[in-house]
Amino acid sequence: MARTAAPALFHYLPNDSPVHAMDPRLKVGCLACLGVAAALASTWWQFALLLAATAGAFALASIPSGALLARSAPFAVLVAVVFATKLFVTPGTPLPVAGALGATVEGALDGGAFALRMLLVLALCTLMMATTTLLSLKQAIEWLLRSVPFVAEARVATAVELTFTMLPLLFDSYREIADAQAARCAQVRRNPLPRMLGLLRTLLETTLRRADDIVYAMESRCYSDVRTAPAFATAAFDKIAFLTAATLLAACCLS
Amino acid sequence: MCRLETRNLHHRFPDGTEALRGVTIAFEPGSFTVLAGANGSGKTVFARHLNGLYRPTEGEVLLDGRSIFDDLSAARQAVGLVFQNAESQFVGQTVAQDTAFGPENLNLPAAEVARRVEESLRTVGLWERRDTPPHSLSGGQRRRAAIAGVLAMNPRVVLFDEPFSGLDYSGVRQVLEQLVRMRERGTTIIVISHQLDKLLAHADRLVLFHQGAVVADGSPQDVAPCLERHDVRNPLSGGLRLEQLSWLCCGEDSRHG
Ligand SMILES: Nc1ncnc2c1ncn2[C@@H]1O[C@H](COP(=O)(O)OP(=O)(O)OP(=O)(O)O)[C@@H](O)[C@H]1O
Ligand SMILES: [Mg+2]
Repeated sequence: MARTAAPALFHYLPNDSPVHAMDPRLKVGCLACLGVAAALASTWWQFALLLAATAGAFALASIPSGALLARSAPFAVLVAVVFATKLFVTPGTPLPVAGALGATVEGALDGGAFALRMLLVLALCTLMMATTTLLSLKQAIEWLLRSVPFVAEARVATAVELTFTMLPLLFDSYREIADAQAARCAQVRRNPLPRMLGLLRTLLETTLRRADDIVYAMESRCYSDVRTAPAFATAAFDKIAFLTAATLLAACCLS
Repeated sequence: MCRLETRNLHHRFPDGTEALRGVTIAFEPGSFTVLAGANGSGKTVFARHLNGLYRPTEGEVLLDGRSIFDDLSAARQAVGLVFQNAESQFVGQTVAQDTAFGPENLNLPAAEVARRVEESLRTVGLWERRDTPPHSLSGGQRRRAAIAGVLAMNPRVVLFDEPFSGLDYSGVRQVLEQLVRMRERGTTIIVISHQLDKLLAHADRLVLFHQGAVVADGSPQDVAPCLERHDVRNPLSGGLRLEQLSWLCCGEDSRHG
């Protein structure tokens, strides 16, 4: 079966970089700090700082950013639509160039800030998924949830990990089922609705059966919430990275 | 010692299907048994019972004389199950992570987990591929990765459900070599398969399932003549001798008489 050769968005891209090797707990901490900072940022210098930090992290991770960028085209369209909407809908001073069409200065600023926030969050999530294995992400989630009462952290973390493991399989089965239906000339039918419903039902059944199989496979290998504890290693780089992210967050709280 | 046996095992599914109708059978330590039978004869359901994944409607599964439900975790450690569909068995993102899943569930120290992962992956010859995602391995490698995940639990009995389906000649040989090598180390082997020609030369017992019951049980030579009556092809029907069937060139070395 043809599996994607080009780096897919939200896929792990193995490499020997300090970003890859980071303690997953601090990495999740950095992501949280920078994500909140992006949401709070409002002035140009705050955005400039965050963009510089994100670009720096990408450079350190040395993953094929260009190819990832090309893959994010659908998101770019979304960002552009949001920007355009804000530009024309926000009331205020007409923009010197396109004022007649209803574009406003406030709209441009507002839309620009919103688009930048979306871009930052998207880039940060992509970087996170590209440099972190699901296992270490799971271990970090488990560690972070440990202090939250009434949450079975091992279960939640396993559920998160399994969901992400299952997603690519789900896409594979979708393609397989669609192909199988096409091979039996399903597209000749004039009304596409029954075909879509049929495909959905088969997909759901396949997915449930796979989920069932995974549960059996896990049980047969003694699945337990009490598992060998992960060994976290925190390098100096990780602490510096986290301090930087926290400082950026503090800077974005100013206004 | 690790004697696995079932007594009068019945399994009825909620929809009324009688998948097993009173199976009584014992597997001696160190034996190599092949379970055969037509599609839907209850082999997979039986395998899942041996691993404690299903609860019997009636009857029981015993390990060294005690019900496996007395200590399910110990029973699942002792009896490893390699699933019919290797794909559905992977829970890790890389081969090594998947192999570590079992030992981690046993809450072993991290160093011991690492040791077992390396040992199992070296045994199946996948140590070099340890950082590969399981789903991007070839069919034969995938089957071997699934075997490594079971080996890492140090089982004394290993059950294989259709280990050869979909494999080419070299894939079959890779898996077959694993089976023979594990058997040489004293592991009890139970294999479910339609492809008797690949297995019988190495087996010392053949059990035939038909509609959820055991209809023949004995040495491969004795049971082979009953096969065709129950919709299974007899690999010896062409006048071949058992020894001539082995798919491993060094069959003489690996066979125990
Ligand atoms: N989850 C289920 N619900 C209802 N019936 C089932 C279920 N699983 C299996 N069966 C039925 O139980 C019977 C035995 O199935 P089983 O999977 O054990 O067959 P098998 O011998 O392994 O066949 P194959 O050689 O095709 O793998 C079949 O009639 C099957 O339809
Ligand atoms: Mg089966």
